[in-house]
Amino acid sequence: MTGSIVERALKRAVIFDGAMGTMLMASGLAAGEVPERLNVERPEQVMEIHRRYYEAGADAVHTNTFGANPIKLADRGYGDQTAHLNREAARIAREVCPKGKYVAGDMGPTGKMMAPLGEITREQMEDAFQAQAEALLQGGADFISIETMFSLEEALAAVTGAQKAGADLIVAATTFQRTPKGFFTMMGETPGQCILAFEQAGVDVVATNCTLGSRDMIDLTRELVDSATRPLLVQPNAGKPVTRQGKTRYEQSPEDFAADGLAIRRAGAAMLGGCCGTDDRFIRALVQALSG
Amino acid sequence: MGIMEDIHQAVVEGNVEGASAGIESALSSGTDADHILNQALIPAMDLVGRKFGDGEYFIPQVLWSAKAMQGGMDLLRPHFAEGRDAEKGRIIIGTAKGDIHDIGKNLVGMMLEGAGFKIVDLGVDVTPARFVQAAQEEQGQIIAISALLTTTMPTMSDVVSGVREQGLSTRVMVGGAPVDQAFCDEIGADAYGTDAVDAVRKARELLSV
Repeated sequence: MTGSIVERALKRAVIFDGAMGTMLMASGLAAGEVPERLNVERPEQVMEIHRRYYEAGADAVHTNTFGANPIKLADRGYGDQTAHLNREAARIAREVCPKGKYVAGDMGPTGKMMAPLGEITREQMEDAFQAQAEALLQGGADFISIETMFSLEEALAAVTGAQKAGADLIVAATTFQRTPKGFFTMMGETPGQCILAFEQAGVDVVATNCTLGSRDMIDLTRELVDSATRPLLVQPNAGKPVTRQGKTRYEQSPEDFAADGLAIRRAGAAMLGGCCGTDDRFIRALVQALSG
Repeated sequence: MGIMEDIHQAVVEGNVEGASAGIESALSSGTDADHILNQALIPAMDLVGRKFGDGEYFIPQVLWSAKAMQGGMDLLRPHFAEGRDAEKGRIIIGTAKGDIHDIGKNLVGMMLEGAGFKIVDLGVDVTPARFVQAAQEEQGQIIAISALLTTTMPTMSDVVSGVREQGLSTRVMVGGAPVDQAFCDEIGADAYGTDAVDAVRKARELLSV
């Protein structure tokens, strides 16, 4: 029986996967396609990506369900597919997950704002995240990983939803911008505020991902570690995207990313992975840099 | 403090009721609607925009101020001088095809409306053809396209060519986190807005208003 990922982090750095979207686009995902549909339409393509990440050294991969929140799916016309898509996504990841490794049930933002600024109530958000988390756990996810939250109150609604779904372990990540005044979420929350709120809510692994490249994440890691008593997961982007002649590229090299990863580890991160622009080469380089 | 300052402060603070109360008071004492718009509301949103750019205000603050602004606009609209539409221009706005992110677009729409433009919001996942069609139907002077996903940026180029093909004089403005000036120049768009406040600036420049 695989122990908890938190226990594993006591022994060594725990490695998560890199981007799913980046790898899907590299294998031909068209703009505007709903990536989560591939879990049922082309599962072998998604499984291949999970496999590559495990082989590159990832301890845990995220299910291809970042946008599979019922509120977001409803916008795209797939609201009634929530349970099916999330269950299948977890099931196929489970199928290729090696013994002793993990499947993280991925939950991203709803895309809407919570009332009174937006139209969705806290209860509706919690229910949506609960429905998604239930399906992910039913499909075989080991734990729930809440990602790229730019609003702390939405993140907390996701945590509540995951708890109501019966998740044994919850990872929760907010995403920060770097301004001259410091790191802030889009809604204006600080790293300290987020960590405190997460730990009070019972989050097991506090985290951050996206928006920032690996270089900026070194300083952010220090700030997060300052406030955290729980283990920290950090998943940077591969620098900033550059679009020329209609093609978008992230220009950072895996080696450069991995060198920053080592600094992030030294700054106190217990777990590391990659976000936008990263692929299995980045994870392989990261594993190498950390084991040296 | 004068009533204009009260209204200005209410908008800057995102005080929706305060802004409406102040405007009602000003209108009932005979103040010109245009005067309220230009002396209180627009400078207030400009200041909000600067605070946002400086990292002092974040999305919630900007949105509350925009709500106060919109509440004010609703009260002022019936009172604008006969034959003079507060409309500085008509702008078609939407999120690019393939993209459903709308917070940025909504912010820009609110700021533009607050600045006196008439907004036709096409929503999200808007095809280039739809943008162009709307510009024709609504006589839009500007098409403003937002994108958060880098993969949808090429469709912005299609809007530019669509406008040209139809022989329209509509300008195209682009924005969104992954967009930059170089991209704007590459696709032949007319302006790039770095954020909602800059969008207002660029819109005004494009139409000389």
